[in-house]
Amino acid sequence: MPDLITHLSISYFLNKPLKIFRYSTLFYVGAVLPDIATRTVSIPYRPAEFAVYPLHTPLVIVLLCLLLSFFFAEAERKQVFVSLIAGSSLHLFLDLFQKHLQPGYTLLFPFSWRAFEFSLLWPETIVSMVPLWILIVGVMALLNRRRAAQAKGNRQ
Amino acid sequence: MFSDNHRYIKIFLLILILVVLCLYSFREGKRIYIDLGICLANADRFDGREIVLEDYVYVSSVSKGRFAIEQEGSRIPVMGASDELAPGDEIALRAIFHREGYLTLQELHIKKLRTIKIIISLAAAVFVAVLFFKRYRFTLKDLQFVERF
Repeated sequence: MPDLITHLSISYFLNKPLKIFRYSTLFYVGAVLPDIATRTVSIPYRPAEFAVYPLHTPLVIVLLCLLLSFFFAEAERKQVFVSLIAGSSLHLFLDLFQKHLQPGYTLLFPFSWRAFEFSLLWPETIVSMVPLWILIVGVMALLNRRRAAQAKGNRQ
Repeated sequence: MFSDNHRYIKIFLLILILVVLCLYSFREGKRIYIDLGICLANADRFDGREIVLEDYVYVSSVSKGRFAIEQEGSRIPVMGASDELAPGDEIALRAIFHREGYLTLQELHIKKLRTIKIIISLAAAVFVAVLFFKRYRFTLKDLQFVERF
């Protein structure tokens, strides 16, 4: 998995300028959800790794997002589900760019254990790019804030 | 599908499906996944076979032309050299297993920055949690998150 800062940064790059999702907070939650659901268990308690493994696969993530959406008000449930699933899908897609000695992601679970990935970057290569992501996000946030202040000034 | 009709039944069914899938994965994953302990316990079956050890593999010692690795309590020497290796390094390797109790190295990858990756991921997770709870609060009465403003 790329680190969560990379996941968050890329979801910010997509969401902020395009304003795709109304529930952007939930889009960001979705962007970290597959790792939160699995690594918070498997890193401290390794024997449970395969028990939580499905929570990092596409079909099960859809079910998990559907489950989570039922903990929100009925009127916004559909939007919550769409935002969570969009963030999670982006997460799973980005993970595919990583390289391992053997492919790590079983996209068709539970129907097949065949794993797949694009195998382009070692995980640590991605980690070393984190300062760059933080810099770009910082600059984008600053520009957005300045633009918002300008717009407010023009209205007044 | 998203209505409040039979909400608790829907929640129960989804949890049930998730638990069944997790139990299935736990059972099957253990059968499919090969680690060093399994290879050493079934040395004849794995003799001459190429294996990949990726998770929690640490270098325990390094000497000329060989090094030893440890994975969750199982140790084995590896024939093959790498100048960059040092004891304590976390690695992933592809190697041929020999029933005499050693591996012949085919491909090696040193995993760097794993601790940094965990720490920064933890920071990002906390950031998202703060973002979320700044916007939503949980009401026990309705068992759901509602917006604060």
